Amino acid sequence: MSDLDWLIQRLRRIIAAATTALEGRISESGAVDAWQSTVTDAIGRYSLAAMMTGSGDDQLSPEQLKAVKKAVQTQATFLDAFALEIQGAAAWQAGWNARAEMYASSIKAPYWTGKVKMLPLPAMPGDGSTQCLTNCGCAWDIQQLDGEGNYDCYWRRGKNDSCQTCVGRSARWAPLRIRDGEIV
Amino acid sequence: MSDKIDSLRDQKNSVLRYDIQYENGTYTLYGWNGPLIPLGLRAPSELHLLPSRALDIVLSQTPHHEAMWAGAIGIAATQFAARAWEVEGDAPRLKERTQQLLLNADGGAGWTTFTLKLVQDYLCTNNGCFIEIERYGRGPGARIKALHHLDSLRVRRTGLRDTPVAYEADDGEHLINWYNIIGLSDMPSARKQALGAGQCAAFRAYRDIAKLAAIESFLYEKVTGSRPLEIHVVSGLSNQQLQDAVQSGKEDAQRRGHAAYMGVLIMSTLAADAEVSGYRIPLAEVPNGFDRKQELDISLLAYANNIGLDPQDLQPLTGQQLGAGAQSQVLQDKARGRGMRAFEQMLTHALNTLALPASVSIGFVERSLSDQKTEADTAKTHVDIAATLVDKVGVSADEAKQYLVDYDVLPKSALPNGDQTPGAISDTDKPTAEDGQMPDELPADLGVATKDATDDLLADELAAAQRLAKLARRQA
Repeated sequence: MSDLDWLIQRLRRIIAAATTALEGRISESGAVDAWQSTVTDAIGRYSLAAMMTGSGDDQLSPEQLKAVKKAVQTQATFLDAFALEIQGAAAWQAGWNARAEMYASSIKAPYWTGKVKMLPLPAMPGDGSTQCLTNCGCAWDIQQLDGEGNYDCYWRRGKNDSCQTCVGRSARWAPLRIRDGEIV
Repeated sequence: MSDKIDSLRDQKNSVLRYDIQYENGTYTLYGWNGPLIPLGLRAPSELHLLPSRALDIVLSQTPHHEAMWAGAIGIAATQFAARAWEVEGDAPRLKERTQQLLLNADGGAGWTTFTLKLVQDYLCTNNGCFIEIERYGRGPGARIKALHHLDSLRVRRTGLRDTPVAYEADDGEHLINWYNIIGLSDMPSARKQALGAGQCAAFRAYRDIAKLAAIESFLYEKVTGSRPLEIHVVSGLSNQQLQDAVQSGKEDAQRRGHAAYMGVLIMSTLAADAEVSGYRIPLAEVPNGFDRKQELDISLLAYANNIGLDPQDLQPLTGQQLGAGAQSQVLQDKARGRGMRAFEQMLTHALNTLALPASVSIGFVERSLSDQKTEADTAKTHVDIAATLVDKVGVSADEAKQYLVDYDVLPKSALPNGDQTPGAISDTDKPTAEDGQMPDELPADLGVATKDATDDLLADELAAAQRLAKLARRQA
């Protein structure tokens, strides 16, 4: 199991436990808020860990922290809408548990941002920009070239049943060229 | 710890770094190193409707002129500086850091010295008192490094929104950004041109201060004979005879080791051959029916009212009839809603809003035994009510606990199902994001939203993330 998969599995368990505890209490005042806060906090902490794991560096730079913040804020927005939906429902809906656990895969984006050393790439696997959303199994393959800021970046599919977005990217970004630190 | 305290003192990002650091221990009162300005019956610029620096120089010197006023200022300042405070919040390290920030205020001089200076400026200048918020970087989100008192006589209100004040350092004037300054003035003027300056206690009590200073000065000069207080015009005495008499009187007094009674100036006429006669011209005297104690009582009451003190702090009730004990309590209770309590509120709100992290707040606490007894009595009353509700009304134990939580008898953790009636937030609580709104920043205890990497709260989160990352690598 890769380091990223290990983190995702742990986070999924935390979210699953919090969501199961919420199931019978959605009408209680403050219960959904507490759940939202718990899940957001867990996503934040694991996003930081994912950035550290991906970059291989436990000391994060301000830019890396900013990237984590942006990623977590994006998830917080989606989670906020989800919480509103739960609060407005009369009863617990089947599928909400699985939907909540999907948030665990959101840490892929900060992981890959760290992995690619903060290169200005247009998307990260699992950042929600593909049809497969956080189920994306693709990866960046970064090849550094001579000279500073020169890279060839390949979008590699990791699954046989990739979504159309990922299929298109693997063809289009083969490679995505970065010269002098900018995409050309 | 010593490194941390040193960083709170170095003033590297403070406007005070532009002041000259004297190495030989000498100092000057920059901006005003002139003589003590005599108090006139009317303060200079009193006819002007707007506060001015010239007026503030006079007002700031009033404690030098009148001892009772100086004592009243001292009592108000020390009472406030001695008040206990608490830092509240959910993050222990952040609370500790905030406590250190306040305890090392004013370049390490400490909270007590810091507040003593603030109160003096607040009570004795219309410009008010100023706190510089030194930060590690630029911008309102930059982490707070230290708090400093700024000399009010060196601070000029600019009227500019982004740089509301300027500080006259030793090397010139420096504008200060809005997020680096707190300014508090007493009775801030409603006039736009005043730019937030107000009417301090010294301004409001000026006439009483000047009057009492004049009375005490007159009595002092009368007793010591240090200046003529009346003229006696005498005929039949030549000037030479007069000078000889005065001189021998002086020498005689000096020989005996005490000052002569020189309170009378004697003028002789040219009619040296006339009979000795004369009349008296008073230069300064008290009016008929003058009662020193009564005048003192009036002035002390004016001082207490204008500062916002309990009059008993300046003059205990003595020789009063039965019922004075209750009167004392009433006076003490009334003082709670006045003067210095307003300053405490302003300072609390300003620090909580501008100077402290989002998830902590400061509040002043009462420590007197009578207040603790009152709190205990109130709590007992609520407990009795809750017991009655359960026994006689059939309210459940959880609902009774909710009642006790609402009245702060029990903490919220006593409720197994959480607070069912969150209620209002007080003026010292920090507000949270409203339901249904996308938060502008992440929850405070996540720590990544607006903090620098070195923030203690973020450090906690980073440490936890580092442990997770290590475990993840080990598992891979």
